[in-house]
Amino acid sequence: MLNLVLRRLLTGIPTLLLLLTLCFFLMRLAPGGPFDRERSLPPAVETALRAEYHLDESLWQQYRRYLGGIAQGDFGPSFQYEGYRVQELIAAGLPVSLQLGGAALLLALLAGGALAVLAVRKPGGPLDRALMSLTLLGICLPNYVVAPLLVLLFALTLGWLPAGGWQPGQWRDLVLPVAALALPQIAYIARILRSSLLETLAAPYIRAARARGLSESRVLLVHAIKPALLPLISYLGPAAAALLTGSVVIEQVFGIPGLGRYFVQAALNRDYTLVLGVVTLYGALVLLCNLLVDLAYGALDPRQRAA
Amino acid sequence: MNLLSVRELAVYAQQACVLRELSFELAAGGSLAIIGESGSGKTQAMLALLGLLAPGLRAQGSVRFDGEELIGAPEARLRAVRGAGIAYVWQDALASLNPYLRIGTQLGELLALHQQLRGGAARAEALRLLDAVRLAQPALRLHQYPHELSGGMRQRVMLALALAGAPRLLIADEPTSALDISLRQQIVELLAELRRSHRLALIVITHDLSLVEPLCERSLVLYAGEMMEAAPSAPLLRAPRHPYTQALLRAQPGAALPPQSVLPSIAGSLPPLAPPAARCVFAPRCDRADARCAQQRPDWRVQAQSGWRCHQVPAAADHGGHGAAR
Repeated sequence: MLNLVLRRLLTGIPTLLLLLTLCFFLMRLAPGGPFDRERSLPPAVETALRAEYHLDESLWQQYRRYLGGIAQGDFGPSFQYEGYRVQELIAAGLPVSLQLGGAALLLALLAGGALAVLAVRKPGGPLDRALMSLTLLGICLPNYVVAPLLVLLFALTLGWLPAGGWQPGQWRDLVLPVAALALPQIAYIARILRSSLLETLAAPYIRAARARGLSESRVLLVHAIKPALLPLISYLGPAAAALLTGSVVIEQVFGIPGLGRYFVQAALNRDYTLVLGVVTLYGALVLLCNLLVDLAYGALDPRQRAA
Repeated sequence: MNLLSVRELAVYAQQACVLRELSFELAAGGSLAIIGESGSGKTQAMLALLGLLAPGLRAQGSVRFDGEELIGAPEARLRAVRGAGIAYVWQDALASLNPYLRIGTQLGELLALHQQLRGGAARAEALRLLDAVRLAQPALRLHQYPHELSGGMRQRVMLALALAGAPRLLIADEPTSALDISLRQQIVELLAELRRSHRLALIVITHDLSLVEPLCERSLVLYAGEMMEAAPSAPLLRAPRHPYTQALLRAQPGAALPPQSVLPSIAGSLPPLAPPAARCVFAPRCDRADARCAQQRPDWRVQAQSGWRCHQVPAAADHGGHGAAR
């Protein structure tokens, strides 16, 4: 297993390098540049700026300079946030996004799992049908609708929770954004787990377990849960990477200083280095989550361990 | 009082009749073979008895186990009978063992449930059970997963799981169909031995007639959900009364057939599921059928220890139809 981890971490490096290279040249192919404004700068100022950020060098030189910086842990200066290095911006935003996304992931797993277990108690029954309709709604409603609705209800009308803001240690700030982030995930997880549980419960070994006198809850929680978790885990890998890197909409609505906004802002502003920084981070997280998925598969399914 | 008493058990899928008027008695320690081709309703009958029919199937009639009615019994009562009263050995051992759980886990949970054994006592009993089913290296097996065992080993594990509830009746569904010929003999011997050592009543579901005599005193032949013939095994196999039983015996490989000859088979195939018919269900494939067979369902006739359902075999008939294999 250690072997697998090491191999995957090593093959991750060329993958990330490839991602970085593609992204670097694609960004430069996009029209416009970081210093384009509605009113163009005086030519002297622009020339000075371009020299300052090494944009006057050839693309190849810039690429080599950028890679050289990364080798020393420096992702370059942000074009938009003056005076900040990209890694400083990420270091400030990442803990916020991790906290928010992690809490949402945990909530989604607990609530989604509970809903799925409730739904399969009587497949096709009224509770199952009601839950599946509700989860469909949860998937269909976009978060830019859900988030303001939550604010309207719980912050503005009822006044139970703050409408936005982010102070360290204030759990009340977390509730609404976490709920808004988690709602669609709860719905996805409940539906995926429900259908995989139903499929597993039809397996011959489940019938055999029932024939040995085991209770329905033991059959469900001991015999059916492991195989039923496999499809969910495949979904969770990429979903977790996306959740943990923040959400533009949620951060905008609740005024949260996370990473999500950088993905959109930086691309629009042609903040080359920041885009590359967050893309690399996201790529690394996806690779890491997929490694965790594979490890979880091995832990759950004994037949996969030998392979 | 008999251990198991089945009266007019029927299984329906909506209007279609999967099983009709199945009746038999089984004494404590007794044994019965249920013989029939695939789709004859053998397995559904046994599932009905445990209340494990698939959704959409319903059972009618009466099944009394140890005096307690099982048809329509609440789920909690049925659970108490499953495993502890009646144990089921499934046809496909690989599919019927949970691939995600160790053998020790699957045995241990049954010992905890049915015998309140935990920890060291449960482990000792698990080892004893694996030893009783003649599984080599039992301590190693406890830590293994089903896919790490061979087919014969898995069959033995299935038997150990069945014994873990200390049942009084063991139902073995095609216990040897997935095994090669040498293993088959071992499993048959093991079943016979376990029956003696654990004082089990035994029902063997099979289409392999070679299992019948070594394991079962009585036999019951099912065709398309109907009992064709029931009798003590020896006379049933030597001198079958019913044309279907005769045809089934002729179709057994291994009889004194000259080399290169074609194995006799029963022409046609099982009828599709249909509402209960007012004719003999075997008539379309029967070489002795006449007009009456197609119009009127024969009554169940009983003579001494045997019973059969056929117009062509009158009650006074002497033993031995024309088609007996030997």
